[in-house]
Amino acid sequence: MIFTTFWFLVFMFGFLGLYYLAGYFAVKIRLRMLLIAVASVAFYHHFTGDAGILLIVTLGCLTYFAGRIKNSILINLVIFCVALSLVFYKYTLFIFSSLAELFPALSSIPASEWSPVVAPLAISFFVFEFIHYLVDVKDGNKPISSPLEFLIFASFFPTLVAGPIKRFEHFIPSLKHGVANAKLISLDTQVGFLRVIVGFCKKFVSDMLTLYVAGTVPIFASYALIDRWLIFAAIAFKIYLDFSAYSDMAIGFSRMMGVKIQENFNWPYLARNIKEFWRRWHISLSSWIRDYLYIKMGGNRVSPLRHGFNLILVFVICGLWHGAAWNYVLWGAYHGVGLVFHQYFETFILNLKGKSFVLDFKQRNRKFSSFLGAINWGVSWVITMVFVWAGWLLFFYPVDQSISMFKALFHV
Amino acid sequence: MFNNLFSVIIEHFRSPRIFLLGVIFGFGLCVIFGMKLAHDGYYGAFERVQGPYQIDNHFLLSASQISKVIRSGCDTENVLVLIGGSSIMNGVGQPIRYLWSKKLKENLGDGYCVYNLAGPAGALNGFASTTMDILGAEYKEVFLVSDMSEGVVHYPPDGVMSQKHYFWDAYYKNMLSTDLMNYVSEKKALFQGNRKKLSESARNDLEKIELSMLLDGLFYYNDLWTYIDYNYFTSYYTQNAGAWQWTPRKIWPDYDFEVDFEVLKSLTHYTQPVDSEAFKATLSKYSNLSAYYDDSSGGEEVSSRYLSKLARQIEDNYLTRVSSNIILAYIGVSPYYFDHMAEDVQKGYEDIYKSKAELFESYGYSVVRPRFEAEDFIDPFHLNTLGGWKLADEVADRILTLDND
Repeated sequence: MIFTTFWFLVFMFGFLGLYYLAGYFAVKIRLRMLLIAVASVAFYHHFTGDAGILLIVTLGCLTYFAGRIKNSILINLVIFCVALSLVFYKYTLFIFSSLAELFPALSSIPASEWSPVVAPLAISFFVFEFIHYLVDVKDGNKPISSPLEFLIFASFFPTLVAGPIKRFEHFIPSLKHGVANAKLISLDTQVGFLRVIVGFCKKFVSDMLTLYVAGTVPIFASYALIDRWLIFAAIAFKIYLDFSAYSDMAIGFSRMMGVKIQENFNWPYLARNIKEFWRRWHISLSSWIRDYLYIKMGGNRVSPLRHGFNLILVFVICGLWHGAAWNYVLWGAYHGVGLVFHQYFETFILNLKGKSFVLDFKQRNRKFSSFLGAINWGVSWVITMVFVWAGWLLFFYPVDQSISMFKALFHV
Repeated sequence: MFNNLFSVIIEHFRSPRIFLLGVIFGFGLCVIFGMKLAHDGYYGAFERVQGPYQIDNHFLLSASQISKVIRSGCDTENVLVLIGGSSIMNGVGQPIRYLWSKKLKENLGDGYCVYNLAGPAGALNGFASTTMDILGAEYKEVFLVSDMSEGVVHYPPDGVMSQKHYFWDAYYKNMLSTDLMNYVSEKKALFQGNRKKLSESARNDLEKIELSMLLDGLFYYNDLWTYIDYNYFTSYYTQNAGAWQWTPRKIWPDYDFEVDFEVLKSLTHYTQPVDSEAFKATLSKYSNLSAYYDDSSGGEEVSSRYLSKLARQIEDNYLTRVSSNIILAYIGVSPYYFDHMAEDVQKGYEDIYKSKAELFESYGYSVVRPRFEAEDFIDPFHLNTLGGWKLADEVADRILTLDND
């Protein structure tokens, strides 16, 4: 994790020192903007080198100028280029190796020789931000006019590596407010610092759980049933704590600069259904998928069959976004199917609730129906958590191992 | 909910000035506590350093603490014997009760203190050599014992990756001798040059270690953290920790089981069948001597290129300046394997050993080579108690001879 490296701590300490110091100059806004831009480029260059910088600069320039020109055809073309670069850098090898398994004749093409082995750092994040920017500009939002502001939007170092995925309509005003008002002794610094500490604590616990999981999963079946459930929960909590720790630190560091960033997690493991889970988990990604994929594909205004298909498709894409491997595809499809099932079930329950015999029953047995409500709350939560946590098995392990681990939870 | 909860707490503590002062004060307290811990000793006594601390399980051994343990356990009138090197010298395969370094202490008798600072994949340079430099001026005499396995010499003074932090801990806390500090600045160009040959990730790791120890030299967080880890709570999960994971390291059991000596003897002979794939694989691994031979000599002579490279490495090694106090033990491969090697490979091993030993001796090092039997090994290269005791006898004799000289 980049935020927990000594390099980053020294870098951040030095940066914040200069940032607060800049507040004493008359041209503090310009100075701070420049400082953030230089720090962001230096940060990204340190972790990716020249090649990574070249890609983000090229795509960023294309996005900026397409936004400024505001020509629909050009914007569409740039969206295509930006998306294609993500596909090329992240998925070429995966696509070719998968196709070669289907069509052995293709295996003679040496894809590994010309396709990138490692995708540039954070490409999934900045590509999604660029697409959001272009789509919103095309839909009539005012583009960012200042190249410096756009550079900061594209490379803002606290959120660059692991999100939250920013929206420029929210980010730019917040950035302007931050550079104009940030002070060392301020509520923003206090809140931001505490948020970073919360992130560090979560990361610490997550690393402990990671070692625990790494040491116990290979001999999962040899543990007693209660221990297997503990390991199952540890897998779920390690990913939550690890990922939300990143977001906490990103939000905290930004807040110390006076910039408010969108929240990314909202107690996801308290969700009582899968739909609610996705409203609480990786909010910046799920809302991106909702706004730029799901709604663009028709949302819930299409036929139930098409709606179900769309849901599964967008979640397959969501799975692929996490990594170029079949287990991510499967994990996405698994959640897509879960959401479709929930959608149908919710409609069925809503219909049922409207029936006169149900209403009569509730009226006559108020205490009993509130008891049933509590039971319903608990059962829904348990089912949702087992569903989501079982999904993490698919996310981390090969399918056969995931299934055998899941069966072992029930002594099967 | 979290954010609401967070906001509620923050709203009730709306005092940024007091908060900032609190952060500075709290941080300062941690630094002072860390400095105090570095100054006081909190490590317990140990038979081998890798036992309770398990450095391969994320424990950054502190140079000040090891020096404290030695100072408190060994009077400066005594001769100090420090054992460095790899897991072979650490005594993997030997229960604490019958550990070779314990036998070495017995053989040397009063007036000698023995500390086993060897660790997994360790080399001549490492914990022991750094400690030798830290304590060299305080003791009557200090000897360093290490193994002469392949790759033990060509390390910079900070040693192998898993032990580098120890050197830089001592470096940034000004614990090293002026001579070694000067040597580090003199050879900076050489180390930078060698560093360029490393992979990017190894280079990054190295920079990370140096930076972390530079900061630790200012803020003393490592001593604070290892104090908690050692005494109260280990954040590192490992199967070695005993019944409850995350227990403090001071109560971790040693990784070699305590068994009765008679039982131990019956377990010692390495019994892998000679026709097994594992046996053949190990044998073939040790049969490739091409790196040491010149093709032009028809495999008759050890390559002069190899020997001149080794000579350069020995020359460049800081420890050559104190080579008269260094004993290198040649362990070699278990005779159980050696006997199954082709004749030319056996001859190769002998040639290489002789050439290396002569070279080291020409630079003032002492080399010992106990005669081991197949029954002395627990695996192809690690000694069991019987082998360990043979090593102890030979090393003790050499130390006594050198000390009397």
